Formats: sequence, C-alpha cells, structure tokens
Amino acid sequence: MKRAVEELAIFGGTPLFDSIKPVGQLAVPPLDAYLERLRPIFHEHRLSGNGPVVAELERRLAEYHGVSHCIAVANACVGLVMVLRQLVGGKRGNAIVPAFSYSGIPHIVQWAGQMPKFCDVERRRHGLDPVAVDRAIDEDTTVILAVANVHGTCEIDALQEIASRRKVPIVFDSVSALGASFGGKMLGSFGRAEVFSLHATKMLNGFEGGYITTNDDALAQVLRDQRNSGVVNARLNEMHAALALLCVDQLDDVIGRNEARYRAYERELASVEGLELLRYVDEAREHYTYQMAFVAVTDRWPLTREDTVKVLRAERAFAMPYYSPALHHSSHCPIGVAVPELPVAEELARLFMYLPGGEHTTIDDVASCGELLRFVHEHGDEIRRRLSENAA
Amino acid sequence: MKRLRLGQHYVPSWNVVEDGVRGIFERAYFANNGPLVQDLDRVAAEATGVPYAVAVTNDMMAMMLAAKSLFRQGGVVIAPPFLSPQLREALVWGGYRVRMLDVDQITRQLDPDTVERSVDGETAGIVAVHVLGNVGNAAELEARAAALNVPLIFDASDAFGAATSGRLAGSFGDASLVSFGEADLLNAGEGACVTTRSLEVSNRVRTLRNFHPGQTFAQMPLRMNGKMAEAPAMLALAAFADVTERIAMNSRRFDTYRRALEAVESLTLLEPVDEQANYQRLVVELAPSVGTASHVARCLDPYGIEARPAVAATDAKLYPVAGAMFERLLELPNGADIRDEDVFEIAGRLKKIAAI
Repeated sequence: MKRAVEELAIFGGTPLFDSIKPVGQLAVPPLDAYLERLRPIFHEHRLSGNGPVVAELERRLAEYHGVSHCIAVANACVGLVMVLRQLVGGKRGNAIVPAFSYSGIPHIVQWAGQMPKFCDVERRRHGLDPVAVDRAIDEDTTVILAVANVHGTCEIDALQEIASRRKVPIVFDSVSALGASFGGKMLGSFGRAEVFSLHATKMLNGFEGGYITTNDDALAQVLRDQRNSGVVNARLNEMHAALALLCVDQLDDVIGRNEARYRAYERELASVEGLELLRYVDEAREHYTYQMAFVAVTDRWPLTREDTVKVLRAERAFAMPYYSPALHHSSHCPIGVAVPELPVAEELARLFMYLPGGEHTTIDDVASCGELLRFVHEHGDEIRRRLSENAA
Repeated sequence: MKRLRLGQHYVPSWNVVEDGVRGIFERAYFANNGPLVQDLDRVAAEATGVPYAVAVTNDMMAMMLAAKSLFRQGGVVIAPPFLSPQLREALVWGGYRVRMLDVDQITRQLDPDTVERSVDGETAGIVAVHVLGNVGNAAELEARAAALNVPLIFDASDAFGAATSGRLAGSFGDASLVSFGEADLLNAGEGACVTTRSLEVSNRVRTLRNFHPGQTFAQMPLRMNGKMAEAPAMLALAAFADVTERIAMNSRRFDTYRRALEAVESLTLLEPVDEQANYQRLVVELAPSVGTASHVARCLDPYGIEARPAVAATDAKLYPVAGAMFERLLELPNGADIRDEDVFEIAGRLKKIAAI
C-alpha cells in the first residue's frame, strides 16, 4: 500500500494492481461446458439462421422475465431500433429520452427516424422524471424511450400511466437492469417492449447480442418475421447464444458475487469522508444485480471527480465518470435539437463516478481501493498541489 | 432424410475453433474492438487488395455505416432491383430513398449509361451489386460514378476472391461490403466488413461503428453499435486462412454440376464471367418451358432439396431484365456438405421436372 504521495502511480510509483480492474461484468461459464455446447453447432455446420440454440435461449429468457415473447437479436441497439421503428409506424417526430443516460440513446432514436427530445430525470432512481415527460409530450411526440438504470430502474408505474393517458407508446431500455425488479416484478414485461443486452460487460455474456421481451403478440410476430425473413438482418449467431445460455444458469451466483462486492464497498467507503456510495432504492422489496458501485464525489472530497478518476486509473483501477456530460450537452446531441436547462441531469452528470466491479474485481481488490481512497483523502492537499504542478 | 441446404456453410476444423475459444477465454476479451477484430481488419484489407477494412456486426450494418460514411443525408440512392431486402432496409434506416434502376440484359449489372442519365440533384449515391459473384463491368461503373462525382458502394458479398483485370472484388468504388454470413464463402456465423481505399472513409466507418469517445477517428454526427465480437472475428480469420481450399472445393463441385447437367437443353449452368471466380453461387437458367424458379424450387422441396430464385423478387413490369432474372434463375445447393452423389441426385430431379 502507498506510504507516500510519490508512490502513487500517477506520480511515477508502481500501480496498485498488476492488471487492469475493469468495470464490466465479464462473467464466463466453465470453458469445457462452453466447448461441449459448441461441438454440435460445428458438427452440424449450423452457426446462424435462428438455430436451435437461439430458440432455447429465447425460451429460457422468456421464462426468466415472465413474458410471452423473447426475440434474440444481433445487439441491443439493433433491437431498440427495430422496436422503435415498428411503434412509430413511419411517422417522423420526436422521441422523449432521458438526458442522463448512455451516449447511444440519441443515435438510436435517429436510426428510427426520430429526433431526441431530452427530458430531465428524477433524483431517486435517475430515470426519466414523469412530471417532465408529461410536460414535454407534444403533437410531434411519437414514442417515449425510458432507460432503466443499473442501480434503480426508473419510475415505471408513473411513466406507464402517462404513456397510456397521452396515448404515446413507451419502450424500456433495460440493458443495464437485467435481473432487477420494479414493484417486486421482474423487468421484462413493462411498456410495449423492453430491450436487454448480451454484451460481455453486462449481466449475461453472449460476447455481443441483445433481445426484446414483450407480451404484445402482434408486435412480437412482426419483429420475429422481420428478423427471420431477412428484411432486417438482426440475427444472433449460435456461438453467442450458446455462451449466453450457459450464463443464464449462473446468473444467481453472479448476482451473489456482485452483492458481496457492493457490501464490501459499503464497508470500505463508510470511513471515507466526501465519497458517498449510491444506495439502491427500496432494497428490501426489489431485486437488484449490484453490478456497479457508483460514488458521489462531494465537495468534502479533496479532489475533483476528474482528478480522482485519473489517480485511480493510474493505479489500474478503471474508474469512470458516470454518464458525463449530460447528453444534451455532449457531442452526441444532434445539431438543431433544442438544448433546454435540465438541472437534475446536469447535476448528476457532474457528481458520480463508478469504481471497478465485475468478475475481475475481488473482495480484496475492493479493500485495496478503499485503502487507496482513504490515503488520497488523507493526503488530498498535497496530491492536489502536485497534480496542479504537473498540469502546469 | 438429409436436407440439401443452400449456402456455403464452411467451418474451420474443430481444433481451430477450440484453440480460438480458449484464447478468447484466456484474454477475457470478448467484444469492443478486441485483438482478433483488429487482426481481421488487417487480413480482410490485404485479401481484398485495399489498404483498409473495418469489421462490423453483419452485412446490413455494413451497408448502414458505409452509406452514412459516403452519402449525403436524406438523398436518393440508385440501386439495382435485386439489391437484397436487408441492404435496402439498411438504406431506409439511414434515411435514404431508394431508386431502383433495371440492369443491363447482357451484363446483368447496372448499366453506366442508364446510371449517368438517372443521376440528378437528389442523387446521394449509388449501390451496385457484384451479382451472382461476378465483378463484370464494375470498373466502368466506377469510372463513370467518379466522373459524375457520385459516391459508389459495391455489395461484394457474393464475389469475394473474384477478380477481373487483376482487380479483386472488394476493391471497387468508394467502398465495398463483404458479408461473413454462414451462407457466404467466408463464414463467421454472422459478420461483415467494409473495405475501402480511402483512409478518410475507413476512419468514418471505424467511428460510426461505436459510441466510444476513445474510438473516434472522424467527426460523425450519427453513430451506432456496429461492432463485431471476438468469436465471429476468430471464425472469419480461420475462413481467410482456408479460403483457397474452399474455392477449390467449390470449383470441383461446380465441375460435378457441369457434368451432371450437360445435355439438358432446358437448363443452362451459369458460368462465371470473370478471370478469377469463387464458384460460391451455383445458378441455372431455366428455359421458359420448365416453369419459374419459384415453381421449380417448390417442386424440389419435397425431396429435401433447397432451391430458390437466385435474385431477390422484383416487379417484372417495372424492371423487365431483373424481373426475368427472378423468374428464370434458380440457385441450387453448393455448400460444404454437398457431395458428388447429392449433385447427381439434384440434377436427376431437375431433369425430371424439366421433362414434365
């Protein structure tokens, strides 16, 4: 552990970790089990074309989410564009999206022929603020794309009520919330459809991929027909599906390990002044995946968030600012889109960073991160001074 | 009953798959422009004789990103009527209107003179197809598009390895797309790449295929998750390593079809037109007396033989040449699992259908 400021890696010291501690989940099944799954796929020379492994994965995931239909696709973005294009029915208008979210959001709605209309978020779950959504809907609004966040989904009931009352279809991007619940009910059956990811950094590792869940028979049929008939090439291949399928079997274990890491961060950060671990909403009632540890960098912390991230990254702890800057102030905001003041999104985008997590971060690693952060706090003035000298 | 499938369906040997998967697990690098995708970008460029290739999710994504990298927003894209439905949909997703132009009766490709007459102020670009695996008159269309200052993209998915006048498919126009679907010569399960001679175009496509600030090489207002993962990249690399052998197997099978179908007057096996061919698509032209390609495909189906019209459906009233191609050209199984006896079985069934 560091005994002096010059031992920090950012000032030339040896990094705390031998290898990078990433933020992605990167869960894998046993290699031999995966190879066994692959053998018949290669024996039959059947690598794609909505094969039997994709069909089995769809059945398992529909069961897991408690929905009638699961449609596996090449990746979550393609799935979202397919659903959005179907729901807007050829109309061009605006799609209501949260301003505090991942950078793909404004791009995805444009591929569906819509322009993003950024809305503010609420402080509890960081999802679309229902009041702001109700106010933002106008005659050009074609769809609401709500994003369920990893630490707290979003205010699903209120958003669904508005969507229904204002007669605007609502779709949930639940990529970050696979395994979470709302009102005690597993995500997957809310809105007209939900879309999940099979990217390696998410809860189910299928290398890359995604899937759509819905209870809407007609919508499911259209999406399946588009994918199967070759009107849209959105096929998931069998190698990816086989990996994801094995990861479904171990999902509970992965969530258990995530929660252990999260509790370790709770213990470590309890004694670190100025950094506040973001709490999950209504933990006693809801399911969460505990995939990530988000930390608010308050004004009692001696460094800026950006400098803190630099210090951690030099130690090979892959911290990142969380959804920063807010989308309407980022390079991802299309030219010509109105940029309103969205105070909550802007404040949250300045506040949080996330810390290493996933399968490559052990409980001991979390303890090391805690110790490092305590050291940084203790020597905050000197670190700040040296960072400023280096920058000059 | 064994089903005789359309498509190539080549896979690498199991040892290659096992070693490749083991390597991916050891590196714990599954997606996001991993080391195998980077290798593939280099290998695909070399193999098509261009400096740059960018691997992406699949052929539809390749068309979405190539179009966005070259065509101005919201214009009209000229294409042949048999452009595949998913590539057409890719252009629609990109916000383009597609204007179909019938093809030339002899070359079965877009006619440069007709294209020139059709280009107007609304034209954003041209998408041409190396149809049935033939490069054909691509150089002529390329020169005409350049003179008109209209960007040109080729769908080279049927033609990887085909060449004319020493130039390989994948090297024509401002960019080409090569599919790595399981029906293609280069089978990665799913996947594709965009090939180009332009550093600027490659930088745009490389930027377009992801949202990450660290993977930004050009200012692109619209982006997408179009990344290829490591498993398909591993298979595509193995396919490039095996491609000479695969083409030789295709060529031998083609020769078997030649022998099996000779002396059947109502069926003409379409020979490649280029100096160098990949023999990926096995297509027979049916005499009108035999019936349409769709009809013959339905007749073969009960015998476990997959067949289909060799080009996508089109309105014959609007596009007589492409419409006739849809009606008269029949594609037959020509994949890794088709043995000589299967070829003779298929030919025998065809002869009986032709004789009725």
